[in-house]
Amino acid sequence: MSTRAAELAEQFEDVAQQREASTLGMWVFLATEVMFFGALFLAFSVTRSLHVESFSQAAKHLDILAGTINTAVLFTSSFTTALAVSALQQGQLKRVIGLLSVSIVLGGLFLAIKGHEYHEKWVEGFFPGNTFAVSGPAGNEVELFFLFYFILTGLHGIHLLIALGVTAVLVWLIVTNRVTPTRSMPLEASALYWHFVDIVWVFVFPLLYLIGGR
Amino acid sequence: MSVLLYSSDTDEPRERDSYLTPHTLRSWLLTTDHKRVGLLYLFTIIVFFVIAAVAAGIMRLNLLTPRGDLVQAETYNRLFTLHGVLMVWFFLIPSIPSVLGNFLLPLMIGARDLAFPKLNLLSWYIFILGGAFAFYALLIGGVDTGWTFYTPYSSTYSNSNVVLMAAGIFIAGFSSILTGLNFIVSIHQMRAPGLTWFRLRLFVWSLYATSLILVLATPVLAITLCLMALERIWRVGIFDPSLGGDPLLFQHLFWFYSHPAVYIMILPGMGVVSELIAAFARKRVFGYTFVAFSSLAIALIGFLVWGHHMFVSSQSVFAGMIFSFLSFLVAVPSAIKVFNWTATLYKGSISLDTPMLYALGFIGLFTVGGMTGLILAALAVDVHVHDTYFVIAHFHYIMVGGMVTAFMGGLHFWWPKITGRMYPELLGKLAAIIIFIGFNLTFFPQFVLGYLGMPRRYHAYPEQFQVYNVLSTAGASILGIGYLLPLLYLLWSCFYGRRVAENPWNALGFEWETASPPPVHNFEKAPIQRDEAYNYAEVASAPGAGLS
Amino acid sequence: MGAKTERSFIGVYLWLWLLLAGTVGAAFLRLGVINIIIALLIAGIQITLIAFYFMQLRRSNHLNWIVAIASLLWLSIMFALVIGDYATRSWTG
Repeated sequence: MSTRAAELAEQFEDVAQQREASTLGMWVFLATEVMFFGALFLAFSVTRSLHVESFSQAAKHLDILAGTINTAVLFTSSFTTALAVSALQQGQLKRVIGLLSVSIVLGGLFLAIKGHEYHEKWVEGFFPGNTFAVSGPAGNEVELFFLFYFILTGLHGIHLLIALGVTAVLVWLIVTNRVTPTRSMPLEASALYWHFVDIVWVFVFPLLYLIGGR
Repeated sequence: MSVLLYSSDTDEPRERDSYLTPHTLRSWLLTTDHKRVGLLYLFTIIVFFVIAAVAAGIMRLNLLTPRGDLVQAETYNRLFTLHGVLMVWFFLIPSIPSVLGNFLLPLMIGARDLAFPKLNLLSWYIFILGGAFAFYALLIGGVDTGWTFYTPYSSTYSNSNVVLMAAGIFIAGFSSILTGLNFIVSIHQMRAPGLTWFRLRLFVWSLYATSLILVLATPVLAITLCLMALERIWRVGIFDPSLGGDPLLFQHLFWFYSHPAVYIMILPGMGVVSELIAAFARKRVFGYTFVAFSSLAIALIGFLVWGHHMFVSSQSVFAGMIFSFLSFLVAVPSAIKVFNWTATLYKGSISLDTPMLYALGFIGLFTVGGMTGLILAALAVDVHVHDTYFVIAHFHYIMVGGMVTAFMGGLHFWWPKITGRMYPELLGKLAAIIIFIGFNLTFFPQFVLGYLGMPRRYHAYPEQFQVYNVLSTAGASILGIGYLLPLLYLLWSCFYGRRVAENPWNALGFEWETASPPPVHNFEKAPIQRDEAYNYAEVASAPGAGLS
Repeated sequence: MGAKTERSFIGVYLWLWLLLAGTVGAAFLRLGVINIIIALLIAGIQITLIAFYFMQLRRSNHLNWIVAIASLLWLSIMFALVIGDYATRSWTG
């Protein structure tokens, strides 16, 4: 019998209030992330509208296969994370740990593929800065596209990394009985964050890889 | 923990356990008590206020003479940037929300703490971290771009510590976001039994509206600073026209946050004023529902007007017209508040204690600031006064005449609750009057200067403007004395002020139903809201609570 | 919670694959501006599915719906007014 931290934090009246507060808190936080990435999307959209041709040309250099695989990898990890929350609420602890571990592996796979793409771009000379391959005014515009490519996917990657870390911590918390079917909020909240990271990619992928046509 | 407020023999309140004991540094630095977090913020923002005020002092001294020979132009640029950055992000934005809001919100809704106490402490540490970056940027020479960081100067041409300062502001922004998040969840989920939305204190309504802005606007600032810094580091041109970018994109993104930010820097002040007027006119705020909704309206419409900072930027004229119209619209809910406060005063039982002096000062000064905002919102007039001292006078009337005045009023009103001791009333009144006189002398001449054509951010000016500049600097020295006084007597009162009981002002509200200072978990018994807020008419009590 | 919810998860998961195939396939067709509309539309449907089912928004307190919708609304405000400026730059008189 675990005598770990009490289920009810002292500022709350009851567990239901605590659960609702926790969920609302995470949704409010996600709203801030929507504005954060949204502003970045806006900057990208405006800049693209000023250089439609160059951006379309630049986008053709992206590895659409890698992007597609990554999209599938990430929404699969969302699937397993959603199942994990369900499993916890049904008290199937082993299944939870298994599913979360799959999510972590898939997240890691995403980052590995992304890293491979980054490496390719670096080798091809498409990393913004002094070493950029294309020069001149048209080159500036292509460089702008790749700046947005690296910022959008980079910030997304950082968020995914954080989600990976949080999920790993959660696995430990479940194994050590600190997160349980009756105290499931930490998993539910971080699952919401994981899904959000997926949602951002669902938007980033067409924006960078697909729009402009092939 | 003892709950006795009085000894059995006399009526004198005496020292007993509260949230202020224990005294160890560790207990302060690891606290999750919202009341202590509020005080941690107070100590921090005072430091930043003093630094920024000294910078302003140097600027005003330099402007005594037209040739601007006290400091060089380059130094002057760094001074006004320092002043703007510190005052906006490290003083005003956290001021009422993170000090008074943190302290009072749980008390006012009858809760034991905020929804996420640890997140609250984290927000203070994040604030400190951001402040450290900013402070370090200042120590090694500062920034010369102005607090608005316009590109491409900031991203390409400036030789100052832009990235470091941007990092400090970026980090401090997370502190804002966490505070807003905490407030929103707390107000939704943790109200006492019987405390429906329309029985909430108006200060709570204003904090809610402020939190909406904190949460929705600040992330946009974060990404904007990020992009500007990356542009500077990687020498790319998102905002640089010579490299294919658009400087107006920066301005749109920057002002999308920074205009709502000015509402962060006034809404809580308006909330405080509602509380002060009700308490010191001993009357329910007239048009409670209108005042409550006007806070939300200001928050919402405030997101639609940012283009009025860009009228002369080469933004489309059509967009300019839309933004001008919407800027006129946003004045309406503010005016509604002023009318309702005035109506509350009418036939109220008014006592002119220090907090009330500040509240009355707010109403006058904010009205001047607000009306001059309308003048600026008129497109054609703005072409004349944009980037002049007219703008500076306008926003100082609102931010200093409004927000800081409200902050001082609130600080005095709730001081006995926070510390358990009363400040010296005569000195309080004296300081309030000195501040009012000093403030007007400092900033009213600046309206004239701006209209006559003196540009802002200039370290020197044509000779014909000297008279007004001298008046302004004279006013600034009086204002400085006015702010120094409370710093001293409030500190004095912590040790020698008269101890008070639960409700020294005989005011209505949950925070006045518990000890001064409150126990750690705020209430011995969970309070229940049984009737409307500010039910003064129903309560038979001794008129006023003036204690001189 | 339970088997029924998990069945809905599987359904959503399959739809996500289908929609992914659709959006990538459509990208190879030369449809001009329709390309953008299709891509954004499909992304929007995917996001709605993830939010409603995986994130359990469908079963959630309506306050959370308001938060989610408000964030999208604010984003739209930002987009609309900024793009409004760029779109009307050439308008005179």
